[in-house]
Amino acid sequence: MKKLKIKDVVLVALLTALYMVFYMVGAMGSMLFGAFGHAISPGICAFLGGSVILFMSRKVGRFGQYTIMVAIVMLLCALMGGGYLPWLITSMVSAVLADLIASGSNRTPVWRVAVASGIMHVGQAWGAIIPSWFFLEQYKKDWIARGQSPKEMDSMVKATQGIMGGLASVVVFLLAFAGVWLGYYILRKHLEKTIGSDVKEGQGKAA
Amino acid sequence: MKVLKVNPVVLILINMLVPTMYIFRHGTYLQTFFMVFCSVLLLVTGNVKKLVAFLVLYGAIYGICFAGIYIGLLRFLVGFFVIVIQFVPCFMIASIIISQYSSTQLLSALEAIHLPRTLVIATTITLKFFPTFRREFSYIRESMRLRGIAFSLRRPVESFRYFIAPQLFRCAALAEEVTAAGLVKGIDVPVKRTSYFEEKFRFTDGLVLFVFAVGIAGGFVWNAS
Repeated sequence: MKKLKIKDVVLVALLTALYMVFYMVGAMGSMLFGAFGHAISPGICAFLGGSVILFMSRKVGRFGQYTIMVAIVMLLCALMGGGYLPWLITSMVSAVLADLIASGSNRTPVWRVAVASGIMHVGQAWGAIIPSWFFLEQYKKDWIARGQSPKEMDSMVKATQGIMGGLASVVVFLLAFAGVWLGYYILRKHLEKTIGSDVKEGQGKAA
Repeated sequence: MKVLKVNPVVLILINMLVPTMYIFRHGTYLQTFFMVFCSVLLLVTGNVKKLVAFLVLYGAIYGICFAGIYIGLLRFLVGFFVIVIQFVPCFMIASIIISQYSSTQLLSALEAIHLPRTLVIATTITLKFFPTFRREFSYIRESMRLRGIAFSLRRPVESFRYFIAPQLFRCAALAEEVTAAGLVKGIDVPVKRTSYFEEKFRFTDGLVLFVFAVGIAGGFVWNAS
């Protein structure tokens, strides 16, 4: 497995900034769908940011790219005051899984990148779903303490508990999957050109 | 007017502590204290324009939350904004961190917290890149205007492509430039990094932390009484 170079880390960092713009847009857009919208907000972000994920996999394609991306998002959210431990754990675990699935090279098939993106974003959604399944009281207490009203919290729990939690996970996965394919549709011509020229450049250097 | 320069580690520490405190104590006191504390911090660090902008933002969010009680249509927004309003003080401090310190200063500050080096470099770059977006977006719009292309909701995929493709390739080009600059400065050298901007812990930093700690302690006393 290829290790990340400084250049790769820099590119991942810059792409994460772009990805975080979609993260904000996704969070705002999800409000329109109420509590269930909140549960699927990582999916909305993934749909919009699928192009960024695909571009990263084509330009970097090394193990650790998804983990670093998610770690930056988590650290920045913590710095901005939005850190939440279960969310950090599920997000980081799913990012490592995404790396295992689709960080072998920069020519990983699009469907694998889409599956990796799906898993990565389902992991982020599980930051709310898993606590509502297994640590309900603590979960409610935490967010009520942060200013959420008990009534809002109840509707949020309804949208993430039991079958609704499963449904939210499926929706997030499908949105993330679709996002990468949308990215492929948008970027395929550009990527063919640049990756083709990168390969030629590499062959030239080797010669 | 002489402006106060606060150690970035102190600002980062405060920004991590503010949301954590909501877990232990909540309600009007803590929210008001954080808002006043961060407003004063923005003022003494010379960010008057930012302070006015944040106060307007705070007022607008507060207005939405208040209106949501009476207007059914806004009710679905209240759950989100009630959380966002608590983060406004954090955004205030984050704005100081982003605008007042160079990448080198931020690197030194984050390394002092003993985070992994790769993560420190990456986070610093991400933080510093946010303000560049507006400029990059204006370049894209200008180029589109010159070519007679416009964003249109009737062609969402095309419009999205006009936005995303130049941004992504600009990121790739920028990555080359930033890496070159970083390598020249020895970013990949496997030794402990020293910094020209190594910030010492000054009396004013202690004072800022003291006021913050007293305010939080006040919250506990307020709740107890």
